[in-house]
Amino acid sequence: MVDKEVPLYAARKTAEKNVVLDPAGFFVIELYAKGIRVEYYSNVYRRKRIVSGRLEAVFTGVRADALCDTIAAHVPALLPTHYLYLGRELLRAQEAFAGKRAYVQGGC
Amino acid sequence: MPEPYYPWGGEFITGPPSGCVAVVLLNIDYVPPPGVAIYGKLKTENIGIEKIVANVISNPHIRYVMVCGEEIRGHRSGSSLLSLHRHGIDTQHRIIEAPGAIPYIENLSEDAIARFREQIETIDFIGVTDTTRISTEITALDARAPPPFGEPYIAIRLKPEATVTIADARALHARITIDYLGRVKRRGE
Repeated sequence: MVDKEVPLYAARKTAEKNVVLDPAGFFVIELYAKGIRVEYYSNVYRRKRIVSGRLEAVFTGVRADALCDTIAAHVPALLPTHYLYLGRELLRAQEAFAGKRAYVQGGC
Repeated sequence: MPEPYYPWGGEFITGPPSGCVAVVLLNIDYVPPPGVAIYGKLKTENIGIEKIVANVISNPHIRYVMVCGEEIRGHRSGSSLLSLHRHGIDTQHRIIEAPGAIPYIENLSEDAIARFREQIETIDFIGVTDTTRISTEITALDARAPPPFGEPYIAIRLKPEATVTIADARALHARITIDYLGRVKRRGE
């Protein structure tokens, strides 16, 4: 007898070509002398293509969790996949900063 | 966090603020002589160029911008920066005659761009990777010691502890998707 069945999913990475860009904008993550710096841009379109961004906010910190919380508080309308991307990317940035290594922002 | 002369910030190394030379590195690993005011890598032909312009005009001591190293493939960022200095932007904010794919300037005013074009002289060393030659040219530029170009021009200033919440003013976008090529479609199509 089974009371309830729940789905079990095997993780599968979305191919970069299938990633949907976020209509709410994009982020540029960099390291600087005192920590991690995240710039949030809204999309700029020309002929229905994203060609650049307008700077809307800048976030700084040294911990991924604090940056994630602050970004979520101030930029509330991102796609769920975008928040998840930020979480893993900011953790990479945190580890690079703590280890005094170079950091290059990764793709989706 | 922002340095007084370079309020937008970014990934760059600063030297003496009274230095008259800024060095833009394309595909090259190079550390310029110590008198250089600021140097760093240029990657993109839109936001990357905007940061260079903002950070240069905020320091009136900078009078020369050298662009060196192998050009960035696809982006053609170095050539696009030189085009901005030569020609400015059109009514669509595109850098006139820029060879890059998306050379759009969206975060700088026309006044800021005009200031950049007036304040500095560009030195086109695109394709040059001989670091001895580059250093010799930088030293010669530094020796000219021109006067500063008036007061700092602050194109973008970061306001600490901003309390503004960015509301979702783009509800329309919840009904569209944008694929990896930037094409817009309705969701579900």
